[in-house]
Amino acid sequence: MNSNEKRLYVENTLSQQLILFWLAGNTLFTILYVNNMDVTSRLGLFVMVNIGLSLFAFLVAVRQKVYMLQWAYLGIGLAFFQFARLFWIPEEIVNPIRLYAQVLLVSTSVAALVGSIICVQRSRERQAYIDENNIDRAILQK
Amino acid sequence: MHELVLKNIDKIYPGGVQAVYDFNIEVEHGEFIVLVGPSGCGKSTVLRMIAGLEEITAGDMLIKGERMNQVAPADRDISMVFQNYALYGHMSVYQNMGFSRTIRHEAIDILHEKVMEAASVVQLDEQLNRYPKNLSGGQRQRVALGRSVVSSANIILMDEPLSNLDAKLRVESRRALTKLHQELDNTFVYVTHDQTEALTMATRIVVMSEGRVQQIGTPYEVYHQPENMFVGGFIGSPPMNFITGNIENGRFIADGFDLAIPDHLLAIVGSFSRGPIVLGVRPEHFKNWAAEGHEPIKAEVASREYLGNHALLYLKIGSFQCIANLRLDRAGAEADASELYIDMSTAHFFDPQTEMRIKSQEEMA
Repeated sequence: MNSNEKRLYVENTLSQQLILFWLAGNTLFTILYVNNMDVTSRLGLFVMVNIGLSLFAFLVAVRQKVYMLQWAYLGIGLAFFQFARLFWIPEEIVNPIRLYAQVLLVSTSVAALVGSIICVQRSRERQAYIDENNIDRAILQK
Repeated sequence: MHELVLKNIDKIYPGGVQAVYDFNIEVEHGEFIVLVGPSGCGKSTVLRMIAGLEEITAGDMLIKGERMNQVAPADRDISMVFQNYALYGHMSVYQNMGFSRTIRHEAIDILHEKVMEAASVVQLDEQLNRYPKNLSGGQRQRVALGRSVVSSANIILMDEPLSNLDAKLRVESRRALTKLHQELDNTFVYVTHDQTEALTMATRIVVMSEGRVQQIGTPYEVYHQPENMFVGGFIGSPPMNFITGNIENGRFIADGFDLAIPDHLLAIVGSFSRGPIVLGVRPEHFKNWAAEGHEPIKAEVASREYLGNHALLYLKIGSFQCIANLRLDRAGAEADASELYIDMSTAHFFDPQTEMRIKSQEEMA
């Protein structure tokens, strides 16, 4: 059976779940981080950025579930951004919290990257199948 | 071996109300059984007992020879289509149809194959991504049906699945259901209060009233050989006319008219000397043209309903109210309705005490 035919009806839950893992890991990271930060204006900015990131990640998860290629690329961006945060951990965060934070950042960025690459691959194959077989757009309509 | 056997089934609710009395039927594989009767006659209760949604108070229920009274609904190898379809609003058609296999954690390939097959059968191939809120009533009904097909259950139970559809869609869905039954070769048990659905789809009809089975038979038998006055009055639209009279000298005598009884009927009812007897005449057995042996009766037409190729006449014959269904394909048929004939060869006689049809010795045997 052609797995691309299945993808016309079955959602991309693997990518969605990996991005949701990013969301959960990032929430944990935020809690750890905030508990150990000095109370400065940076703290407020950090919390606001993370709320924004969480909302964005949720959108990425929902859109990747329905094979949206642009959102797969945004998911890759999210993964690289998370990885880059490894180099922004301030000095006041010390071990073992620093280590936990690093583990969370690496694991979530890997999850987002894998999920998004899977989504890119599946979305392309699915789109190619739709184009090759002249699938009526009405079939894909919700 | 019978696919489904219901033996001496009773249903008594905790308050003491008895909904079903001594229900018996043996269903063969591939039959389309329709339970029909007025509201509150116990037909849905029987269906829910088969499904395992109601406890059986007394009696035995067997599926393929195995007693199922205490078996959980999920393990009975049945599926059910509900009147309101019971679709999950947050799931697409594809997910709704595959739900029974998803919860059994079946392989995605098998699930996909089954859903695609079922979608093709119920003609929903192009709506698989849609949500129930974006479907018409007929499409929702087909999703519910498709879900039953995907489950691959041997017995499919349906509780008035067409009652929410408009008249045109109901006719189409009836045809689709009959076709589906032929294609699947599953056993269908279908509940309805609509006798047209029963007559058009069933291989056998179970007519119920007040919790009791009145008759089990093919649509032909139920229509042409009703067991009792209830069946005669319930099956057929308009219903059978009942006229109470007496038999004297080979003639049926009632208020306002008397008619010769054909020999084959006289042989059955000729010896009926227990007083009054009830004549049952289908509306279409009134004629406004005479055939050989027909005797005219005087009837007063109270009102008339024109229905295209036929007309319903509401008649007053003596002290009796009757309905005649006259075909209008004969010249002058509409105009001339003052003198009518009854085709007595197709009439039935009922015992007014027991309300049972008086049968010949051959039928009794």
